Amino acid sequence: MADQLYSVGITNSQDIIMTPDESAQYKAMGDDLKMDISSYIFLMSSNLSNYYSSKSLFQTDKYRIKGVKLIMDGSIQTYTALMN
Amino acid sequence: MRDDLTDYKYDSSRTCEYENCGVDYFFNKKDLRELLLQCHHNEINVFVHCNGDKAADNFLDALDWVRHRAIVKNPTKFTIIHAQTLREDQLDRMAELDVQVSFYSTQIYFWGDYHYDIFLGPERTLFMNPIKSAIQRNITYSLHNDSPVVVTGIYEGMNTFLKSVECAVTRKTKGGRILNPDEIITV
Repeated sequence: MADQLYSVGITNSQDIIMTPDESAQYKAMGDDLKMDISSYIFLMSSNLSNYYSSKSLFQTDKYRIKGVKLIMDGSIQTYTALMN
Repeated sequence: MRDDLTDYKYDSSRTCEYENCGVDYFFNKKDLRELLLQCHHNEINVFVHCNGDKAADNFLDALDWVRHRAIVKNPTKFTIIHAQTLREDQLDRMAELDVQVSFYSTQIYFWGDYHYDIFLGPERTLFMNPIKSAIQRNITYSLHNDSPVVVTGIYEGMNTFLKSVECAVTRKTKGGRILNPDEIITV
């Protein structure tokens, strides 16, 4: 499959992911296909522990999480911004 | 206007005792600290959505814990996104902890009057997007539109890329108010 992707010029992949399952799939794909894959993940507290519980989720030779976005609160207009 | 915010005076010992004081998605502070530490060790840049000042407090408290335990200084960047209600003491902490910020500057034009009259009251609204104060502390900053909340491109006949800059240099609301000339910057 890697050869097919390379033949059409696809040599790496990036995505924004949200769940540990999706992260694991990308990690496996990177390892299987020897492709460079990076991800930006988007976290809220409900799935937090799934990410940092395993250091291998963060990176391997062919898979790397490039950035994490954490959502700490909501918005001012909806009265969900966390205020003192 | 929200009664709990009209007489706003920051008191670090105060806890939020009012209804509608916001949503805390990271109520487990230990989880937050551990995640930030892992990101630091793995050189993963972290972008943190904080609209309210208490949310920024929670993040800065956790990062302070990380900075005191991270032996190796590395290029990991921590950036507060939106930062609508930052206080001056928080800007001081951000400079100390090497935290970047991306201001949602078009809030001034599109929602500034609503924040002034309804959501936040004058005091907090006048200090929204304190870009000049950030510059004075050598804090690295950027501006954003939070697209598609403010559509990137042409919106209501204006270029919103340029509008985000215009908001930083005029601080003018849709209704014509100037929100704190002291925070106006030049380009």
